[in-house]
Amino acid sequence: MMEVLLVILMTSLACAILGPFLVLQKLSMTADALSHSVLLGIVVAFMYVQDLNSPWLFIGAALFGLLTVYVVETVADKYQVKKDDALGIIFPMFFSLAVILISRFFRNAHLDVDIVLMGNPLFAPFIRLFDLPRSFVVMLILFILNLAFVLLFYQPLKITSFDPKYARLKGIKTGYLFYGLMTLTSLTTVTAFDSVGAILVISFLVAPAACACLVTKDLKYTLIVSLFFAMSSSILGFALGNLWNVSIAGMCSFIGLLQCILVILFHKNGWLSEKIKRSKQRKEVYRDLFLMHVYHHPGNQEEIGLNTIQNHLNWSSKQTKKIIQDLLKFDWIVENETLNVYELRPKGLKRVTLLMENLYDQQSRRLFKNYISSS
Amino acid sequence: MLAVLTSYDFLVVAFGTTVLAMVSAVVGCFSVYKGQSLVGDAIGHATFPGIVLTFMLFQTRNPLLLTIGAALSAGLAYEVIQAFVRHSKIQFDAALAIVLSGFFGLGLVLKSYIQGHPSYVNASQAGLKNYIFGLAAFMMKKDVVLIFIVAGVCSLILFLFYKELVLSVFDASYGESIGISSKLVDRILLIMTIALIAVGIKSVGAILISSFLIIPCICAHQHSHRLKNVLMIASGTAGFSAFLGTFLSSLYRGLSTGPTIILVMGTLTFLSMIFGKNSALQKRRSLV
Repeated sequence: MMEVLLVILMTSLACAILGPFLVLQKLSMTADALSHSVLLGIVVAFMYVQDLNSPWLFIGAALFGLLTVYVVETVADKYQVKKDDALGIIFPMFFSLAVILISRFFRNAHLDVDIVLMGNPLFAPFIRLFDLPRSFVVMLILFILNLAFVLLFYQPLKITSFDPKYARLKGIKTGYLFYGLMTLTSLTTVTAFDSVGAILVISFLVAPAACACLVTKDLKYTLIVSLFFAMSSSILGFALGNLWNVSIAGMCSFIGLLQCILVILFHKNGWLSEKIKRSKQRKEVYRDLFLMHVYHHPGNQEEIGLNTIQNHLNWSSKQTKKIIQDLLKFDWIVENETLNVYELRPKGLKRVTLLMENLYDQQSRRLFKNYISSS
Repeated sequence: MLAVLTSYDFLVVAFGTTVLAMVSAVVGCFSVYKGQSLVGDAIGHATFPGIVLTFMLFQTRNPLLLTIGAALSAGLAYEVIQAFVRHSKIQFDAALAIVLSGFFGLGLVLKSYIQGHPSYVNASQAGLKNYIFGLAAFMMKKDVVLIFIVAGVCSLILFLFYKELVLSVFDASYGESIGISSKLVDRILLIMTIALIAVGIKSVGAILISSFLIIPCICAHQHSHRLKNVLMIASGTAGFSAFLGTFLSSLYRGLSTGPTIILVMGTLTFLSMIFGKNSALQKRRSLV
């Protein structure tokens, strides 16, 4: 069982190191198309060699992946077809052809569409190399290859991902880089067939990288975080899949989706955290307004009376009560029963003077900045 | 060979796929021109967990129930994609890829769960696999009736709201200014897409159904740039391909219906790219 986990872990790592570049260059769906159409490469190669374990299958599949990318890029470039549309034509055709070839000619060979598409990591340990599962060894080699590519071409890759025009001006050969990246993606996808299947490779390629892009602002950290997300989703997917005795590959990709949702909700600038921050800021502003109002009308029973202040601030009584409770708790104001008004305590006074002097200025600047960045 | 053409079973299946393809092509044209061609792909994949879950809950393969399940899970997937794009910095295509694989993964999990589970032994689950690749031969009259109803309603909507659809796809702001809510039109288009996908997966399969929406439009676009002509050509091509594909697949063993139809469509599209009046190749030739 440990070996199965190792295979999945290695697969997810090899995918996750390339992922950020695919996500940043908006190639996620290209990778999806690629992962479908390599199936045709496997089938065609199998027709020639008639051996499922031959390395030619691997090479044929990787070549077909590249061919898909090349055809899509050419069609999109020269034939006024949008890239999405080009993808939408080419990969279903390749995939259809592969499915037909398999179901018509290889019914009895061990080339089952189900296995190729959905993978079955549980079978991985049975084919061995150097006393280790073969998929693990191949995946390890690919991980090292991918890592070497990323480290070697880090700078040009970074510039191309964020500003392709500048990269071309600078003399970076973006074409070579693109096809280098695609070759590696293709190779990784083909290898991952064994363990996670064609459809779910895409999850390993995109989900951890997209999460990592959300929480980091530096590409170096994005890569590292992407690796961590990949590890967490594959380990969790493996554990749950094992526990409930269900498809491990399916579980991993579902966990990938859940992880993304959680990150979107809870990371520093995430949806939920943003909401909490907003409501905190709103409360702060209300409290300050209250204090300023009390400061400006000392002893005026009409303006800051215990029961009348809410009319002057034009707030609902529920809201006013809440704010007053907070202020009393902070010991910023007190209720003066005899005069029937609110009075500032030293702490409250300090806050108001601070507000008058500079804090409000800074705060409004900060609020403005938040407003700009959120809209 | 001709015996196939007149056999009742073939006619039922061919009728179903042809009608489905013709209407899907028209709806697909609108979503392609809106620049949303790959949404269909994600929605198609996302129907799978809905189907398995419905089967688990009701232990039946009633096509209506399964279709509703498929449509609900597709709708949920679309909402998740939208939420991703709206509430985070994740790009649209990355969101598509994540949701597509996540939902399909959930489908695989559920399917493997019922495979090993004793309480589902009685209810036959053998047919569920067909929803991934589609097998039109298993289509029954009930399925065809369902396709016919959905296609009929969609055609009616297309016919009645043609002007609104065209406006909101090509010039949404002008549409808004004369009081056509582009949000509402988008919603209607989305519901039609989901409904067509949900009834179509049994014959074409969850993975390939999106091509029914995209390919005919691209094909027709090579011949004309007038929307009415494009819609007609797309619909005609799709119908013809569906009929021919179904015919071939019932003639030869092992040709799955969905893939065969798509191969026919794709071949026609490539021919159109070379010989079509408006194809870029022809334009280039005229420039030289």
